[in-house]
Amino acid sequence: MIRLYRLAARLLLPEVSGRHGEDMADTASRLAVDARQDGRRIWLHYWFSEFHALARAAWMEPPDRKATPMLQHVLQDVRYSVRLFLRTPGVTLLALLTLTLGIGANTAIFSIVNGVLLKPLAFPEADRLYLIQHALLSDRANRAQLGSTTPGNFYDIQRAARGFRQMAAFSGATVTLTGRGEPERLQGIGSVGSVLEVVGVAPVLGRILTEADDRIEAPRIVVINYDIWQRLFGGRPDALGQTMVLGGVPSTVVGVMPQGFNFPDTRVDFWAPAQLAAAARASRTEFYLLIIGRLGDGVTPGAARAELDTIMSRLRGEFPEANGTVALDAQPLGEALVANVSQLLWLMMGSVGCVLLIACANLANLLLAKATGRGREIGIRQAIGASRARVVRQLLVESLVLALLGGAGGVLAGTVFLKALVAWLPAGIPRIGDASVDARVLLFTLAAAIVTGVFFGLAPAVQLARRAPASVLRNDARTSTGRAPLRAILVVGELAVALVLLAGAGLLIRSFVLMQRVDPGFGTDRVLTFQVRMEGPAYAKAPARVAFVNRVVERLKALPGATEAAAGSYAPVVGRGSGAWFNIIARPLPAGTTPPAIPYRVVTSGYFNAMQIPLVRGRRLGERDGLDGTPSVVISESLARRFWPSSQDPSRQGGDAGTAADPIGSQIYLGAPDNKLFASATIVGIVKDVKLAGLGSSLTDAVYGLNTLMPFWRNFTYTVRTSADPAGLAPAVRQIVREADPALAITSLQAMTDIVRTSVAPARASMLLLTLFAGIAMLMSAVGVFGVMSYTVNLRAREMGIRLALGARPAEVRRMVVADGMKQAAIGVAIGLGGAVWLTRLMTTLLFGVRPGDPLTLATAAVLLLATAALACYLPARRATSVDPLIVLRTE
Amino acid sequence: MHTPLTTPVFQILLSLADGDLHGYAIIQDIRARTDGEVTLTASTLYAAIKRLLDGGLLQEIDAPETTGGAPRRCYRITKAGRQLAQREAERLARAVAMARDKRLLPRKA
Repeated sequence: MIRLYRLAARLLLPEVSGRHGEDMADTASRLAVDARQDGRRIWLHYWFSEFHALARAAWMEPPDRKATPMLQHVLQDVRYSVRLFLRTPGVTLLALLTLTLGIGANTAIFSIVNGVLLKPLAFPEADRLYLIQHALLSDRANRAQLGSTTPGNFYDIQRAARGFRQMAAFSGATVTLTGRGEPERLQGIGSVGSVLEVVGVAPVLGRILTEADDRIEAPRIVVINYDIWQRLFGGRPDALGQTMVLGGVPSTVVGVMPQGFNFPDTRVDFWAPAQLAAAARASRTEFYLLIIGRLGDGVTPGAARAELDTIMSRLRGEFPEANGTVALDAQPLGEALVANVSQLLWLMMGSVGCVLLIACANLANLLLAKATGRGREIGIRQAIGASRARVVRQLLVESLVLALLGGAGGVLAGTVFLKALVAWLPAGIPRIGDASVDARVLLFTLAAAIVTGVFFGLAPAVQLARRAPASVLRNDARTSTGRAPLRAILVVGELAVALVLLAGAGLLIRSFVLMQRVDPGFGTDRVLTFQVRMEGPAYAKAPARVAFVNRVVERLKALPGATEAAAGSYAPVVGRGSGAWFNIIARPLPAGTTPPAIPYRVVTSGYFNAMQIPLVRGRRLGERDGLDGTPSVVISESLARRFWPSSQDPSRQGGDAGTAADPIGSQIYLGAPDNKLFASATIVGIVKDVKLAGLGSSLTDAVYGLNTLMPFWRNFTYTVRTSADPAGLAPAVRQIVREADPALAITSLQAMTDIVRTSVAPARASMLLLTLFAGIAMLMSAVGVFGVMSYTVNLRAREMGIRLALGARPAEVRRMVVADGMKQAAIGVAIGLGGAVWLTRLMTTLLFGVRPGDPLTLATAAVLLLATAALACYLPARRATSVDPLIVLRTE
Repeated sequence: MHTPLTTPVFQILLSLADGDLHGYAIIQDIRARTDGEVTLTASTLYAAIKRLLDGGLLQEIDAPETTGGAPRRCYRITKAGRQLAQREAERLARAVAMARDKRLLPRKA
């Protein structure tokens, strides 16, 4: 603080601090020590008044010719500017408010962009960390198709890849913690090898995982995150060595990671060795691991990728069924984590930047208008010897002072906006916790303020200074021609930018509306859902799992107010979920071909009724299906169409069942030949498509089998259809699960409509934000048009007075004014349309059911903007014709 | 410098009227005498001191050894400074007398 004070004193009070600087700083620091003894608030208050006094003293200090002339002149300019601002408080306040909001919004969005996208991950040499995933061999550039690998592949890659110093693999593991109060679900990472060693962050307490911990016979251990340490162990060091029962397995806490440490994602509570059994380690058919690798010293990413390609082509040759269609992709970890949101965030940054640009154009117009009024003042200054540079500097300093004040306000506003935005944005944005107003954000804000100030200050400054002083003094501003090319250009630019934003917002709105209209394929109203994962030794055997699920479902059905109940391996719309190779027994594939992976769902018998998924053909799954009877499955309509295209031909319906032409009666199995989920089952029915991965996704292929057929599944989502408000049943549902097994945790207890809403939350958030920005842009550009038109009308008041006096009808004059303004608007809109067609292409992946450059959306945006502009032109035009021409003419 | 003086300037002159002091001591003396009503900051003090020095109302002297601590500069009031403070005090006294005449203050016993 004292250093800051010294610096400020040297800048603001150069003479005083030149002579007394040491004593001054010494005195200030003694006073600060005194104040500190009275408490922190007094101390803060002291420094506040000290800086305030410094600023005041600088203000009062008369300029000294001996001091650095430049700085003194600028100070003089600043003083002059502030006096001018105080003389026109309304205009100044409006400008400041615009700047504060504009810069504040930019600061907030940039804080998020900075935290999520720009800040390096808080790991040592984070740029050397790469996430290695499978890409489709046929579509390697498509990052949306990246996926996990198998343990067998991982070990081969780890052994062969020389370009990586360390490598480990991991998968998410959500488990129930028991024995510490209510059972609760914790989010964990199962580590094959040691991901924490690869990441390289030291623990605050104890040790991290090592590769040795991952041996199958090693003792069960766990490393926990800081928050869990605080919450469960009160932050005490004796947490080390204590036992946590995770998924029924006691594990010893051996380490605590530092506060704020996160790997790989937003919230991970613990890291534990996966300790895969020998068979699981060799698996080539279960794709669930992500690989993280640290590049070796001096190895370029290109060389490492080339090496991975070589390894993968060998693995494709060795295991064609498992690996035939995939390649390997290595992406910097920092990029990979935020790949899903980066496009959206840059879009927001661009939009909010456009809003500031429009604000600048408006301010430039405002200052131009003011500057024209000041033509005389400046003419006089030039006439008595002020150089052109001096005048330009004065005007620039004026706008810079304004912009810097706006920037200061922007930092405050930005902090508030950021807090609100982080709270409002949908959950699940990776690294959002890293978003804060830090040094880089402050630098950005400062730069934004300066650029803003120069941008809106330069135009008026240059225009004014260019005029010959004599002409300004001779002519009154009123006699000018009314042409203001610079102002027109600004307004045209504003409208063009506003149109681009409107078009973008329009596309997102249409996408969202279309998404809302999508039929999810099941009934969403009045359904309560929750998850229970069966864990621990009690559920080691299949019959116990089947019994538990069926018992809970029966009790749910018996609840008063419940009409139907069922359980399924996933709720709809939440994601692709588990998939398996889909094999039609009557159509064996040629050797070495990878069968298609199709999502499957493990369900209880009443599932289609409870979910209200309509049956297309055949029959639903009933109790008599399963291990004891003939195993049967039901498939979705789209899957039937994909593999039995001719069966969709109505003339063939009900034809010879059992042949390859009709799905119903066909025998299938899921999984690999040596790792089947079930030996075989008959397709007995086709149901309507359900949106598995969200309303905007086209993923609907699915195989449904009973929990008796696939008893390995442990984590079920239960659904209860109710006759009244589903939330009312929540306590009763909790009671049922507690009675069925008090050791199991209930999670995600919510209405089905909430699940659907959450699935569209990101689309909703981006739509609302962009709409807000576009709305502001439209309003501001309307204000811009209004300002320019009012100004032009004022300048041309004499001309209009003459026209009216000579017999022109007011309506004609009005039309003339509006037409004049609309010419500009039309040019702006035309340029904006071009820009929108070009720029909205960048949004393709954010859109649903509508293409970038959609003519209807563009036309709507254009009409909306033109209508607003017309209104903004009409108001000044009406005023122009409402004055008595005599009065206008008499003022001359 | 002319009367009326600003509060900081007048108070600094008062503090120095009966002895040389350094900056921090001046602030403490003023705060003590005015019961905290006038609390100067370092910036205000030294901006005022500079003006007083420029006007020849104070002079800078090296601190006597006895103060200890870091060597600091002390300030001594000049003859002109004393006269100026006196003029200001008389002006204030006249003002107080007028206030008494108008019964804003109780008359002297």
